Amino acid sequence: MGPDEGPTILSFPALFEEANRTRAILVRVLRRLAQAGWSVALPDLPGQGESTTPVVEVDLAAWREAAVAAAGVLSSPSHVVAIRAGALVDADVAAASRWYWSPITGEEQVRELTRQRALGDGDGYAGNDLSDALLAQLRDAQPTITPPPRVVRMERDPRLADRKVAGAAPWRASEPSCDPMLVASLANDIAEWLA
Amino acid sequence: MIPEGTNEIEKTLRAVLADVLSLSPERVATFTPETGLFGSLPELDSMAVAGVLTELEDRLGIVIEDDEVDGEMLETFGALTTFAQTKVLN
Repeated sequence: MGPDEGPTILSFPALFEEANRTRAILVRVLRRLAQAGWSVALPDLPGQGESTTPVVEVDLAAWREAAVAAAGVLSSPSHVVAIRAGALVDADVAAASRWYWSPITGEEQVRELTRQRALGDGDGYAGNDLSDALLAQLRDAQPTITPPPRVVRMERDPRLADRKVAGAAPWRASEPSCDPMLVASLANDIAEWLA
Repeated sequence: MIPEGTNEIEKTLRAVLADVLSLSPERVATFTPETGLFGSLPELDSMAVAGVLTELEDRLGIVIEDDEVDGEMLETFGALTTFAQTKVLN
């Protein structure tokens, strides 16, 4: 989306089930930024989104390589926009800046997956068959802090943030709505951060 | 005696249920200690239970071990409130 030249916004969605729950909001946020003149990219990581690779065949190292490859084909500089555990994927991207919406550690992501598996009916992690390598790499992964990212969280999240936005966390909701106020708050915050 | 902060925890639990299950705040406000949750609320499937527990951990600063999670503590709004209060106080 947006023009082919100039600075690019390179975005990384949340992972696993959280990606489905946040995708509609992410796409609308990116569309607004594209309309404002930004060049915007939303690459599909292997095993995620529209990718045909089975998720059991991928690990975090492969995702980080794919992120670097995606940045390589875009015009620079790249500004990273990541949601939740998407903030674990851009570690090796030489980004000009990073903007994270409610970033989580890999440990938190694994805990969430393990809980879903413990409570669920099937064998997998909420329908995902995940490799031991992926889980082991996730456990040690932290969101990137260089350069210092701008962190936005939901107002009811007690953790520290540069900004809190109103609304319900869509990654927790079984049937998340696409809150237009939330879309506007996020898009405006990214635009101001990058201005 | 009602411990300090008890009301706040119940309020947090109502907000979490509204957010995770996409219920209106008005509906959640009608919940009493006897209101049935798991097995009674169709919105509360196993994925939603995971969301409720994780969101409670985040907002109350508690850790819920998987072996503490059973049908009893999820059965009613009162049981889950008592569980959360006990967690916060210990």
